[in-house]
This record gives sequence, structure tokens and C-alpha cells, in this order.
Amino acid sequence: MIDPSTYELIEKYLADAMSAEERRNFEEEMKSNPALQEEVSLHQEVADVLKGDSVHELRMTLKEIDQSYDLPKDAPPTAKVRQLPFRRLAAIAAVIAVLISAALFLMPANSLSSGELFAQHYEPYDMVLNQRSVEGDLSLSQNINAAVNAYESQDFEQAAILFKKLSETQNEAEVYRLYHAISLLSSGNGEEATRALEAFNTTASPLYIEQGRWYLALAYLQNDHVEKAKSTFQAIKEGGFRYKEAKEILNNLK
Amino acid sequence: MNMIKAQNDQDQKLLEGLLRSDRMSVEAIYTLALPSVVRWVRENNGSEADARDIFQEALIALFRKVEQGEFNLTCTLKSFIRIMCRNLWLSRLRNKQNQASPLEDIEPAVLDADLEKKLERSEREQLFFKHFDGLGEQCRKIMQWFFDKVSLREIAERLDTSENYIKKRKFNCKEKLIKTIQADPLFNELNTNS
Repeated sequence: MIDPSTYELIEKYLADAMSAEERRNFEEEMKSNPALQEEVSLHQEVADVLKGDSVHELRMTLKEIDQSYDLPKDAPPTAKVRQLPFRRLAAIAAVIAVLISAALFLMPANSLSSGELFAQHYEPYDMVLNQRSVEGDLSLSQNINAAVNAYESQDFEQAAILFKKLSETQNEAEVYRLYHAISLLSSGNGEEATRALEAFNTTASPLYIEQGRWYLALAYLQNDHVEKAKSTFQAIKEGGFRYKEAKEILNNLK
Repeated sequence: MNMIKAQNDQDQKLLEGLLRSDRMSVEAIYTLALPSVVRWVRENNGSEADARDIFQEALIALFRKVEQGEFNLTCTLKSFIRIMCRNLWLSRLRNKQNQASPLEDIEPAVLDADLEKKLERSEREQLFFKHFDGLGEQCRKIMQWFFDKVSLREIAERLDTSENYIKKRKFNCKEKLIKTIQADPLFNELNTNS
């Protein structure tokens, strides 16, 4: 708690309105009085945060928009496919065409084919890496940035090549291996993606194991290995990555 | 003059709009990035409300960063916002003591050090904003002008009153603001964690 005279001093100090001697004395006092020092810091911090109109304007705008913005209802399954690049779409469409014709003969009328389920639920994993500069290693920074760029611009064939290269040269290779496999899957290369994900899942850390399972299960779906897909979806733990979608797929696969 | 450099025209316009608090741009940023942030937070022990809170904090931190001057966005705006929100949420989970988090192995992504600092301070900022908003209208005006270094005489003129009155009001308003901040349990929690 501060008394009015100390308050005056703090104001004067922060406004830089003290004489040299007053300032010296006040700073000496702060050194021996941590509570005073904390108080001065807090006053300064509060003033820094609250000054200026623009941040308050933005807060008002954010508040209004947040109140009126509703999240989109879960998009219909086909909506996810809309954004796929043409090459991937063509690859997936070809797989679906084959699987659907097979399904017409083999599947019960009310089930969805594995190809359809794949197309409904597949989307590439969010890019969690950001571009960076690795100190002292320009070529490594460039390789990371190139791989992230290729993935984000949905050039998955190129991303697969670049992430593979990174996973072979990096110590912290796990996340690159995951993106390599997902890039393969996204470029329509299901069999190679399956092998990459199977290998990935045997050593995956808790950080990425659930993502690995989800994408491996989808890769099995894409290659019509329905039983393997089922057991892999079942391995996704309750509350884990895409758990609800995995359950939904399992229901539709019955 | 703010130098903003984004990787595509849309992100460039959205960042410029954010800097002006332009409603349409901010709405477009919500549409662009909020759904995936909500999904990720929900998958990681949080709720939609948690996600909306950190989303606002991230946009304010981004605004402050862009406002400072030069800003070079090296990935898409959507990815950048998601990375900021992800780091914010991870640090929020870690700070919740006595709550075992299954995410303890996840490392936050590397961001620009200055922006990282802004994110670290954002919960404190929100606390200051909350108590500032809790002041009466006249108090808020006086404090705002005072923080913007408007003289007491000028404030007195704007409010058509005496300088002496403003001096007393300013003391009372600031005392109330600082006291309510210090009395907030979250303030002590944040001090302990920092």
C-alpha cells in the first residue's frame, strides 16, 4: 500500500520530472525497498499497456466480432475435398473410382467405401513448423523453409522430397518424418505413405503417435486395407487426435 | 510508417486492416484462422472459450508487433496465427499448476523473441485491461489521457473543470486501478509463475 506522498514521487520519477539529486535518492530508496521497486514497475507497466487509443479501438472491434462470430457448423464431408489441389484430387478420384466400382459388388448398401471415407475425412496435417533461421547453418534454414513453403502451397510431391531429405540429416527428425509421410499421402502415393507411416509409428514419441495412427489408418483406407484401417482407428485413444472422426469412420465401416 | 511484408496480397491486406482495426479485415481473420485454432485447443484440453480468448490475445500481440514498424511475415498469416495461439495455449497449460498436462512433451514453436515476449505478457495485459474497463467512464478518460501524457491543465479544460480536481481524481482513479489489479488472485499467480 502506498501513501499519497510516495505516489507523488512515483509519478514524478516516471514522468522524469525529478532533479538529479531527487532521482538519485529515489533510486537508492528503491534498491533497499523491493516493495517500492515493484510498485514503480507496476505503475510503469500499466501505463505502457494502456497508453494509446489504437489498442483500445482494436479491443472494442475484437469484442464485437467475437460476440457475433459463430463458428461454421461442421462442414459437410465433401467440403474438405474442395480445397485439394488438382493433382491430388485427380489421384484420389482415380482411387475412389476403382474402389467405388468394387464396393458396388462387395459392400452392404448402407456402408461407405473406404475410398469415400478417405476422401471425406482426409486433410493434410496443419503445418506446425514455422520458418526459421538456424544459427550458423544457412543451407539448413533454407531447406526447412523450402519444405514448409512447398507443404503450405500444397506442392506435396516437392514437400515429400524435401522433408525426406531433412529427416535424413536432422537429429530432431521425427516431425520431418511425419510431414514426409503425410506429403506422400497427400500426393496420392498411398503405398509409400503406408510404409513410411508404419515405420514412423514403431518409434513415434507420445507427441506425434496419435497423428501417426490417424494418418496410417487413412493410408490403409486409401489402399483399401479395411481391417488394418479398423484396428488402427481403434488404437486412437479417447480424446486423442481426431478421436471422434475415427469413431465415426469405424461406425461407417461396419 | 509501418513496413509490412507478407507472402501474398490477401495476408498483406489483412495485416494492414488489423493495424487500422478495420472490422471487415478482422472478421476475415476470424474466418481464416479461428476454426482451426478452436479445433486444436479442443484437442488439447481446452474449450472454445479458451480458444477465443487466446485468439484475441494473439491478435493484440500481433497488432502491437506490426504497430512497432517493420514486420516481415515469412509464412502464411493463418499459420502464423496458429503458431502464436499454439504457443500461448501451451504456456497457459503449463502455468496451470497441479494440473497434469499430457502435453508436457510438446515444445512451443520458435517465434521472433520480441513477439514471444509480447505473448508471454499477454495474460497480464488482459488483466490490466479488465480492471481498466471496470473503472467509471470519467476515470477511464482521465487515465487514458494521463497515460498519453496530456497535461493536467489540458485534461481539466477538456472536462470543463479545475486542474486541482483532476489532480485528485487522477490519484483516486490510479489508486483504484492499481489496487484492484494487485488484489486479483490471477495477478499473484502470474507474479509467481513469471
